[in-house]
Amino acid sequence: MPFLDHLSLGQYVPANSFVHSLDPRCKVLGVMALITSIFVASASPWPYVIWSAFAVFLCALSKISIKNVLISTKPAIVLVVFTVIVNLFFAEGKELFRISFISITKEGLLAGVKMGLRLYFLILFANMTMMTTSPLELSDGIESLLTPLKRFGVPAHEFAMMMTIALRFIPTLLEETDRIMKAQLARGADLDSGGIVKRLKAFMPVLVPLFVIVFQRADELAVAMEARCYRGGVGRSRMKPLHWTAKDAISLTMVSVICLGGVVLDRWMS
Amino acid sequence: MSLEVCNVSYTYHKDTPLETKSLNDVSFHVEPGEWVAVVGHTGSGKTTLAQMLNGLIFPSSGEVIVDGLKLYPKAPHLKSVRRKVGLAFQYPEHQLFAETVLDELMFAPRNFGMPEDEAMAHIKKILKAFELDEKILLKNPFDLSGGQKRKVALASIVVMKPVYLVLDEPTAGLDWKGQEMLLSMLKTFKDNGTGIIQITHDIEMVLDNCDKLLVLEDGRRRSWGPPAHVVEELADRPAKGLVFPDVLEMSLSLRRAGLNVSLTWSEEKLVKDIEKEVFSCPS
Repeated sequence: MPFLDHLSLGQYVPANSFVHSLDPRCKVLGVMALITSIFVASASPWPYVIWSAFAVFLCALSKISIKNVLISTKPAIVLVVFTVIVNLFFAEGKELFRISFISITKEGLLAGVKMGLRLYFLILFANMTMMTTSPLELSDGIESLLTPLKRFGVPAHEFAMMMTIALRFIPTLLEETDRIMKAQLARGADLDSGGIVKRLKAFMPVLVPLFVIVFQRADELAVAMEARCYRGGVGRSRMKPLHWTAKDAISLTMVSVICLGGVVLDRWMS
Repeated sequence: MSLEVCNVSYTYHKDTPLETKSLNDVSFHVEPGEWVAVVGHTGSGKTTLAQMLNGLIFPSSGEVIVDGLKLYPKAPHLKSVRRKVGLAFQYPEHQLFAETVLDELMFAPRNFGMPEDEAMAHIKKILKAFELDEKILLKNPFDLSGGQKRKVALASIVVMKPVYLVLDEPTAGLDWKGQEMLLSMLKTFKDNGTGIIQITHDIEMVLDNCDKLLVLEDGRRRSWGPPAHVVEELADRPAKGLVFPDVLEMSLSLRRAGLNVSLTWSEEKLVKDIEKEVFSCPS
């Protein structure tokens, strides 16, 4: 049961590519611009063509195959399908067909597909950002972007540190989960069959040790940080300071133009 | 009856940028009542191999056959093979979850459909072998000491009455006394007919106990056979990350210096050989 034998959602893939070399702030701002445009422009199908082409272009630039990017977004498909179904059932309009008491409308179908596509593209671009940015760079970038908000009392450093720790421990916890699952499978546990209740019950031997390990690790990490005199962001220097260069500015401008193009095309076509 | 590993290879994250070949064309076999030690450096593929023996992962190529049954995904005999091949991961105490030690020990027998009274009788025997008091059965496993937790975790695997017992670094984190106790217990299991597959990076610990040694290097089989044969084979070019015992290193140095001593890790034997050499020298 190779639980971890594929790329997981948001897993960092080290590579020597143009996208990897960009400043994390450029990538965070870029993905925010893309997400905004995806939610603003969705009346016509044309912006999706642009974003699909852009995603393919990004794959080529980041030296990560399209297949791998798509495989890593597989866990999000459940959420997308759920969104489509919810929209499908609860929109009023011209009835297309009826299953028992559930009426499927044309408006519902369109809204479901639109919402599903929006959500999928959102996940796709966020995933590509995380695949090309190490967790440390990502939190450094977010901290830097949040720094102006410090004067309004936003704890930028603490927020970034929390994010770093959370992101850093995701692969470790996945590995632990995999190990515990395998250990219980080796003792005859049946984690794959039966209904939801049976499966949830079967997962107790995995969840209990996992929680124990999580709390142990959190405790150990807190002690290790204290032992190394961690006292928040005050007076803290950086080993790798961020550098905003011309290529970051050009890349962000290009992404903004593409986003704007998507919105304009959407308004024009609809 | 044997556990056969035939030309197995395994690749993690196949067809992704994180692709890593963990095992490459490895073969060996274990009979019941035989002790095989798998040694190698960190990342040599030892743990991957251990997981394959229990059908937790399946080879990218090659075969694992347990008593004539080939392992493959969703094989109908997978559960019965998992009962035959007990697998203890490194730090097995991390898998404890039940409210009482009794529930923990009954977990595997219940999963494998072993009758309760038969399991209970076996648990009592196992507790004795692990030098644990029966009173421990009602305790919460999380309240036990580190050494007791390790014993309970191992007991929860042995309770399945496995024909083969695979142990991934079973002595990790134990003190010298704990290691001695565990090794002597494994000897008892071996004498009772259980095939032992011990995975370790410490060759010194297993040289005296094991019948055969499999040395892995970068996922490949570097050497395989009885300890004396393996040591002879590795004498000129030791395997990566493998540290020979001091006595063995000394016997190697003496041989290189021209003395006729046997390649041994036994202190007494080396002393005898040196004495023989010294006294046979013409004065």
